Amino acid sequence: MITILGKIAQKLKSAFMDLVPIIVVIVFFQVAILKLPFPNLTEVILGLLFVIVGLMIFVEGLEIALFPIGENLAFALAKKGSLFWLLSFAFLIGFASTIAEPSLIAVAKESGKTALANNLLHPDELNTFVLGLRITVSLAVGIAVVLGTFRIIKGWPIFYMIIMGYVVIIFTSFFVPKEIIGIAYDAGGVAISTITVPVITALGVGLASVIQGRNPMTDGFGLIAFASILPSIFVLLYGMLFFG
Amino acid sequence: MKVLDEIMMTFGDTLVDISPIVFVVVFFQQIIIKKRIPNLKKTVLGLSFVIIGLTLLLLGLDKALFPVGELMATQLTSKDFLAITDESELSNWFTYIWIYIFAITIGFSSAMAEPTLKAVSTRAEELSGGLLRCNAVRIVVATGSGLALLLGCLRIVLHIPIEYVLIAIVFIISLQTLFADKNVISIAYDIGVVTTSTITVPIVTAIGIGLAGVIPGSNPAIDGFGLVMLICLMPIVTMLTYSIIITIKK
Repeated sequence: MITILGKIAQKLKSAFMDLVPIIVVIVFFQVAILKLPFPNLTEVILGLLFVIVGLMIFVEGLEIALFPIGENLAFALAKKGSLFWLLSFAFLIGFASTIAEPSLIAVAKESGKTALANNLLHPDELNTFVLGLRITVSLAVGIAVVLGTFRIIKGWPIFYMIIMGYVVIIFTSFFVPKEIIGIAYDAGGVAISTITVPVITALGVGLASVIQGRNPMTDGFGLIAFASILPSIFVLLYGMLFFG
Repeated sequence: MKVLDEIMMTFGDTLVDISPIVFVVVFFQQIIIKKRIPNLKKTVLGLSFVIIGLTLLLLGLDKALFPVGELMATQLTSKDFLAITDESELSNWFTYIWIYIFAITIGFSSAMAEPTLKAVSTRAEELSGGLLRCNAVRIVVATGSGLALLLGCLRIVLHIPIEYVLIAIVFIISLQTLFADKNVISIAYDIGVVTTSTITVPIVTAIGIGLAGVIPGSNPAIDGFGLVMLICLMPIVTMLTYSIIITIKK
């Protein structure tokens, strides 16, 4: 019992430590620079507690349940030798983990709210827009993981794919409505976070170590950057459909 | 009662959000691999942790991090705080000096605290055979993240379209890629994306939206976004610069 409590205290501490620098900066600015009253202080502190405890329980759950199973499955599928099932798994796990990604859920909602407040959206369209955004980003991550897996199998160099990806983003930006550009650019960084980073890294490193002649150190990396580019391209196109 | 309703609603949404992962795992385990899930009890426990944790986390992001980011942006740009007497000062970029300082500090310190960045930096040190130092990598990346927020806020104030900023940065990165050490490049590309976490993303997004809300002639829904992408890209620039400098020194 004591060891479990100790472990929980340890985890709580490390979850808290992640927030400390942000709290310190905000408190410093409030007290020393702004010298203004802080509205809704109790609600914010309660919310911060939710963030710390929630993040801890969430990550713990991922480590107990999801990551080991995902790794096992990727390994078993690679050993089975069926490219079709391996790629289907890569796509579906990329899609499913992005749909559950907390930063994407939160930011998609916030983008919808901001668009609504500034008359870019009709209230009836809000839920469709937010859900559509999340599905678009998740599709993009799923496809990126498939392409990334394919790349590891074929041994293509990642730099060209990434630079090309950015060139496509820039080019597409000139043909889409202004409303979507900022949201689209942020989509990649937002989508690749708490769940997706470990899932994609494990998949990349796992595959690179199963496939002969691949170096898990160099071939496993780069996948994350690539997975963050495709969502931007997809959301730009989504904006063309939605606002265009 | 309103709070309870909100909790129940978030909980319900979370169940829906998690269901695809459960479906994928069960499908591949049962139909394709045809093996039972090892440690079923532990897995169910972990899954309930995921659902409860995600519910709390989402509520907290909504109640604390978004409002705080937006509040800081509005307070640091309010006319009272800036002691503005003349409306024309609102369009002067120098008026918002405190928001730039705030942005740099929050960008730098949150990256320094990011646990994933620590892990990746250690990996970078191993990969480069000790050429890159773990702590140096963290400082270099955090500097990139701070610069990214500064650049992002400046471009909102100055009304520079985000696509032009992207063109400039991609041009710099492409040039650097030609000269940088091959082993470092793919880590450098990943490192920026890794730096943006569940905690930084909401705060940064809210700062952008809040800032664009007070600048005359800006629309928060259009001009407020783009900061997260800059945090993904600027660390690549600083990382590659660092690796090139080190290689030249050798």
